[in-house]
Amino acid sequence: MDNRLTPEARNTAIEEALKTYPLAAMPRDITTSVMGRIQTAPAPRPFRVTWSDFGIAFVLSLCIGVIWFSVQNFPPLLLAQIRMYRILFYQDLIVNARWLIPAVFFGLAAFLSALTIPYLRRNLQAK
Amino acid sequence: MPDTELALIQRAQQGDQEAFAVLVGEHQRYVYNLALRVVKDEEEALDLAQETFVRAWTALPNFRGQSQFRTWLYRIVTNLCYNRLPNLRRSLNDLGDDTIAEISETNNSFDNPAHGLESRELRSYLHKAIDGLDENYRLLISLRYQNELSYEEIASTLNLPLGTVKTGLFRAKEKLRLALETYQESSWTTA
Repeated sequence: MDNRLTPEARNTAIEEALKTYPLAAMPRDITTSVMGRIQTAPAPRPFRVTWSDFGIAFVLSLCIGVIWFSVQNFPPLLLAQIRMYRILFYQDLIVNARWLIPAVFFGLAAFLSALTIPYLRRNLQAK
Repeated sequence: MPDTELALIQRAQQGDQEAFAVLVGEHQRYVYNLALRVVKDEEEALDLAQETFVRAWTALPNFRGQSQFRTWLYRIVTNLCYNRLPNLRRSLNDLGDDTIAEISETNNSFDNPAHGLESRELRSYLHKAIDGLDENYRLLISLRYQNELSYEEIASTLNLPLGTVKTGLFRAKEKLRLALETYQESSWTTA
């Protein structure tokens, strides 16, 4: 006798199997080992702005303000000289050190690539 | 989220390790199970579960309660699984998000007394078939049926479009249906 399931009964059987797919039993309780590892991990610090954050922010904004006001109050002649030397320096770079700009860019790219090495090594060790 | 769990989370956020230990005790089985279904290795799954809770502890101040605590934990464990199995993320993304009619999730019990033994055998066969599915399907099935997340919660946990989650579950069921057909063909021809 052909007692194969109808498509509906098949779907029901699949749903039933999915719903009764058992949770695996834990081989051992991990609470103790997790708590042991947490002792060595830094304790969670609620996000709070501390006085030292305020201090650093104040000093930084003071520096930026001083630089900005100084530049604003430079004599026009000094400003013109700075601009001229900047242009001369750039021209000098282009003429006498053409290799420098690509070298800086390649160096930067190499540095950024090198930053991924620890992550890649960790992944390789995990495998 | 139950009130007691919320209180435990708040205490843990203040640095109360006992409260966090209670949370670990409550959720460890589900976290371990999810990891096990993906990596299929007990020791590795235990290691992943521990790592999940250690990371949860350090990231706890960032938990704002927009999602449930358990879905937050599942997000951490799936991210750790992505790190261990780099192909998992790709295989989930490759599912696409075709609009497919869903197989209805019926509540009819297959446990007809007349078919008791047969249905038990069939169920056991299907459980083995689930174990044999690819890791991306096992992850989706585990989140949906064992961790009882909604499609939306799965999509948010895995950071996938809703359509991809539905497509993945649909395909997983299709594979199970094929396995069931093969099983029935073989048992019918041997009978």
